[in-house]
Amino acid sequence: MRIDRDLGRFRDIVRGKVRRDLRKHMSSNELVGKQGKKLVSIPLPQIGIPRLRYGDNKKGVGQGDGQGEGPGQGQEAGDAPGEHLLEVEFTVQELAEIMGEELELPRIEPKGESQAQTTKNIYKGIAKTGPESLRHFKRTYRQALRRTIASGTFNPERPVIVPIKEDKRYRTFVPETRPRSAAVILYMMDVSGSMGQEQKEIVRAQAFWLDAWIRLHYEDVETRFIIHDAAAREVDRDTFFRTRESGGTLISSAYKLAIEILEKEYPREAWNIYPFHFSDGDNWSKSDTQLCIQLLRDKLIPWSNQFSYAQVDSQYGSGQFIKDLEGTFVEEDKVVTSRVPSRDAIMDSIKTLLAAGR
Amino acid sequence: MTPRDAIDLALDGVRAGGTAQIEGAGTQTEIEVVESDRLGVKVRRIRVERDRAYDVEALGDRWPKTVRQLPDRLKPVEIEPRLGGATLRSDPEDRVDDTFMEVEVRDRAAEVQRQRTTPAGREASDWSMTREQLRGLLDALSEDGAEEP
Repeated sequence: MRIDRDLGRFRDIVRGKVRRDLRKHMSSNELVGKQGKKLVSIPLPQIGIPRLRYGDNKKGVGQGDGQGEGPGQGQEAGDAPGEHLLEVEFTVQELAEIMGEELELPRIEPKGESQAQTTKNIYKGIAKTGPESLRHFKRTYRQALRRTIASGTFNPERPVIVPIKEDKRYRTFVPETRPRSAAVILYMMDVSGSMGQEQKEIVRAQAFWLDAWIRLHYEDVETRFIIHDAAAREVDRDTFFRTRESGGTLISSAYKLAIEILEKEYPREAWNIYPFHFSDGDNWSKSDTQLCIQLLRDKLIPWSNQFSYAQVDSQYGSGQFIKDLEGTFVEEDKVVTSRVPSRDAIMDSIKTLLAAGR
Repeated sequence: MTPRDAIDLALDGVRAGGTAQIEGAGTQTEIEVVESDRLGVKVRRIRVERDRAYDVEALGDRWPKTVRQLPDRLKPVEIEPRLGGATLRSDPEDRVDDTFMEVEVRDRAAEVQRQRTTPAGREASDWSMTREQLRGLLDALSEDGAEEP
């Protein structure tokens, strides 16, 4: 249909617009805040709305510069905003796809053969009974044609086929067991006194996009949230982004809790595991950093598809932890680190974290 | 020898740079000096170690008011009684360049450094102060404001 084609074209224009402004969208939390259950509204201030254009009719109402001198008469300035903001709704999945195209991200390849299985109803069978809404027109017609020819009543001069009740065929589902691709994302965030509101906003924006991208690749995705200062605890999403403590930073506390959760609830044969840790990198002591490295080396890295660490600069710059990780795991492909000096670096950081396609 | 004399003597011994060590009543102080003269001193790091642990909650209240000899005012960033430590840094309002002062307290020791933020991270930086300011700073760092046990 023409309208479908036009709508498709309009959506392509909008997608192009979103792609061009992606860095801006990714660095602001406006978009994250507009997230509904499934849809995200994106304000697009510069989309040209289609309008009617007149043809070459000889008679009609004209418009031109006119002639005359002296001051004209006009109205006073309006008090409403001059620009109309058009809000376009996208699913989170669509946004993740746009991001993937723009950042040229490779698709994630789930690790190994999953042992977990799921049963899905696939509509690929044909039955003689069923609801009319599932009637298979082609198979019904073929059956009617076959019966008509077999009974000798088929007239090639006047090929009218009238299906009767026995001819009707319906689509029906067949339960099919498939290996389930499931992933668990563990977000860990430093909420110690040195992590300010700006740093948390950056983490929030990053988590939104990381989440969207991983969800694009797995049927089942579970997310768990861990906050830590000197001690770690598991919290819900809202608390994760809102909590601020004044305590010190013991990064090992978060890694220990993450390991505990994974050991109890996510057997690594059945789950693709994605731990993401965000901090300003000011760990309490060198001995705790050593403990972190040991926990990573012995458990978290072997269990995970990829361990990602993003270090967000605070107003006091960037801490030491990222250097310690990079120095230790220089040859470990499954450890990916990224520094986020400001909001503008969110897009590059996400590209770094997701570039390996694990 | 008075504490003042002890500090002067230690600084006179490292005029071209080095580590000055000062024994006081209940404190041991180590100052990494870049250079010093009769009036002032350029410092890389100061470490004060006490006989008893710091009360980090008390010093978090007290030091922003009493430690005024550094280039910027201090602000508590992390106070962690569970680990017996604290971190105080320059109040962002006082910062005029890409450096900040940092006082890290761990158990019985307090360490003062100046850090410069760089694209690659942080690096230690020197700062200058008069001998009078240094004496005042050492006094302030030896007291956490908690009552004597």
